[in-house]
Amino acid sequence: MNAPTSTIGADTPVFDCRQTVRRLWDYLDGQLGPVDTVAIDAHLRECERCPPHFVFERRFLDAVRASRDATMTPDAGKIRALGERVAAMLAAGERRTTGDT
Amino acid sequence: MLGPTVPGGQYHLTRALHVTESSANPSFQDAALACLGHLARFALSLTRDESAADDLVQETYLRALRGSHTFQPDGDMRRWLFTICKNAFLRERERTKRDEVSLDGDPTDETLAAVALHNAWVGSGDADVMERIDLAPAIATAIAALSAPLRVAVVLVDLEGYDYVAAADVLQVPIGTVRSRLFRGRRLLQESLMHYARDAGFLPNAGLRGAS
Repeated sequence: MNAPTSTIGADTPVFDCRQTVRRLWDYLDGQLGPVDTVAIDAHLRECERCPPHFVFERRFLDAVRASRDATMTPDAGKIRALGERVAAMLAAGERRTTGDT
Repeated sequence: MLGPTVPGGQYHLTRALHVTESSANPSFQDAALACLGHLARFALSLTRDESAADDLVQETYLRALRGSHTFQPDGDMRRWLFTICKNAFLRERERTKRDEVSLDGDPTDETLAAVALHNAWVGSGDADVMERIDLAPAIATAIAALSAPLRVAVVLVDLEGYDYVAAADVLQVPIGTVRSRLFRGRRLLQESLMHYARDAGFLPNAGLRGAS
């Protein structure tokens, strides 16, 4: 797991399993603050039940990210043709804006 | 490639004074066009239709050109274009408005639901199926089947790599709304993948009660 790590401080809260999994996506997305991140790291080190959830969801996110090029990408030829149309459009728009003909 | 369209000379220079600085700057167009691939993918994720996506991209660039004076030189061009694109898409969709039911539920509930789904995967007999088979086509189908608000949140964060703040900025919604939509989108994707894996015979125990 690519979990951010830092040290446990006196103010670090102690999370139970429910509190931990409630923050699962935020943690995997790297969106938690350092205090919560440390608390979750600590819980995951001690808990037997929670880590498999985090590992599974990390794999899921990796699979979604890996699908990016295979899924939502228009093919290169289409992008090229579209680029030419947009470039011409922008140039024409610029000419209108500047008053050139 | 696009060159400067304001030629030199006093006459043209005078006329150029009526043009905003950024729109007269070829680097603006170059920077905008450099985002074409990302923008085309984003537009396609919104429209799910290649022809409509092409139109949306062109509309986006047209609006960008008109509003080029509002773009900060040190701004994030891709994010700026995504915002324009999303707004153009929503405006078009308003015409055939199909009001969204409330999609912005409690993100925590969605997170817990994802954990429950993992338990269902484990119960199905093969929680490692995501590592064993290429799910990209199934993921593509599942993303395309999401409603637009959920799909866009997933695309921005999971495919484009935006953090919650940046996605909220593009969508012009609160961060909490991004989280709700993103987490729900992910849960629905997982449900779709589970059905796919079951139908394809990858899950030994095909009962899957509670999976959806």
